[in-house]
Amino acid sequence: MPIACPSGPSPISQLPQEVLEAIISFFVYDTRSLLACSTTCRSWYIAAAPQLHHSLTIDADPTYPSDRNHPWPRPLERSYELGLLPLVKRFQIRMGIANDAGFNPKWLAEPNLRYFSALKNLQELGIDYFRVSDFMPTIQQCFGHFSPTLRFPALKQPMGSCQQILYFIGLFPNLQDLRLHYPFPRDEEEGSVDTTLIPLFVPPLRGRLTLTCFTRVKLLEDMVTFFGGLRFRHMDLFRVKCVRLLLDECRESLETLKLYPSDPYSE
Amino acid sequence: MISQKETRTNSSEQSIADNQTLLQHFNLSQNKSLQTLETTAESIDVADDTASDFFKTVLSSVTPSAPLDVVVVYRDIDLSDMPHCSQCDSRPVRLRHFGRKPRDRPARFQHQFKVFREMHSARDFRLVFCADVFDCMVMDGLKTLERIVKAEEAMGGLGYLLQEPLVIFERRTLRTRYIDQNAGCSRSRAISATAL
Repeated sequence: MPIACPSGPSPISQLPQEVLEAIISFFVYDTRSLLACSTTCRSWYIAAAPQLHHSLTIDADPTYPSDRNHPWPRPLERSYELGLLPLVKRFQIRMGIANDAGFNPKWLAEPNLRYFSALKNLQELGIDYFRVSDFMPTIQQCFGHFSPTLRFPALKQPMGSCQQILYFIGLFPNLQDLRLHYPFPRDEEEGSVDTTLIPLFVPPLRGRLTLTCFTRVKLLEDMVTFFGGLRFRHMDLFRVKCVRLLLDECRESLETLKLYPSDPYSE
Repeated sequence: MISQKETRTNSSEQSIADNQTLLQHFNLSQNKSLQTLETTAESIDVADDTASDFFKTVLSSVTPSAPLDVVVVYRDIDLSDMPHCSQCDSRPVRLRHFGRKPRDRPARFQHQFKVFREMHSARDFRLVFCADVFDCMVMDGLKTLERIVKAEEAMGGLGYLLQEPLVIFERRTLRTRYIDQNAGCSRSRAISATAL
């Protein structure tokens, strides 16, 4: 029995591209459907690709054999070759344990810095064991290209003085959220004060602050000083030493507070 | 010998001192824009008997006239002993909870409902149950929470609430996507598990 052909092109092919993109964005949680859409035709690929390539996570855990097969910077390099890095909105470098000395400038030696610089539309940046101090004083050369778009840095156990970490945060004028995660409370040694290290920008930081096992009160005090106060609307605080300071500073802005009764005194 | 009355007095003084210490940290009376207080079901379980006092003290400091939501977040393991999804590879969810022992769920929920009731004695709020689960588990998680809340309502256990409790969900997505496979990250789904 012959199959009847449709008399004309499907009405869906007449849809404006932005409408198509809006429809396909509903599949954001459904990778299989996104993949199917991306192989339909060029306009559907263009609509699906940003969703598919939204996030790139590179795990650099030396204890996993599979990671040794894909060592840094291979995943970044491959994405660069495929021209996918401008589509990435969220980039994470994860380490199960502090890999040698942590994430230091050696990781971004050429040509890696070229690949890293192709992340031009990044909104979220996650780095584990980030050795901020080792990137000084040229940290802007490595991370400055994120300046227009970055909204949310998530740092696990950043290493460096409060002043250096603050300088890093101040590289990005559009930051809204901030996450600082330490695996356990610890007292950090502060180096000598560098009077030349003034944050370049005052980011708005009006979104969510997430702190875990956080004892670096001086960093928050410096943020208050240099950024003219704190204005977070949401806070998630677990084992944080300076809850009072945060609640006082955000007294006008705080809308949502996440607390843990298993951590009654936040210390 | 210390008399029973003296013991009671000492215990009461200790409790007042604890509350004052707690208020030094968590006095929310100046946070006039506060709309939502969040916590996790797990931390209520871990805090055990101290959870009620903690929340009562914190809630008593919140501006009384403003409406307040108390959101209790339930993760996959809080709702199922062996979280999995029949539609897709369940490995990430299982990995995420690797090493965690299933707990006595009915007893835990009873304890939580007791904590909510005691919290409400300090201040009125709308109780919001939030299933914060892996993306493919959203419907299962939501249904489980709804079933638990309805059962408690049927027994009159939430009769003290002035507003209907809400059941909502937070869809927890993979933190890594198709690009990882393209880029040669063969362990992408496992990464997702640890990244959640």
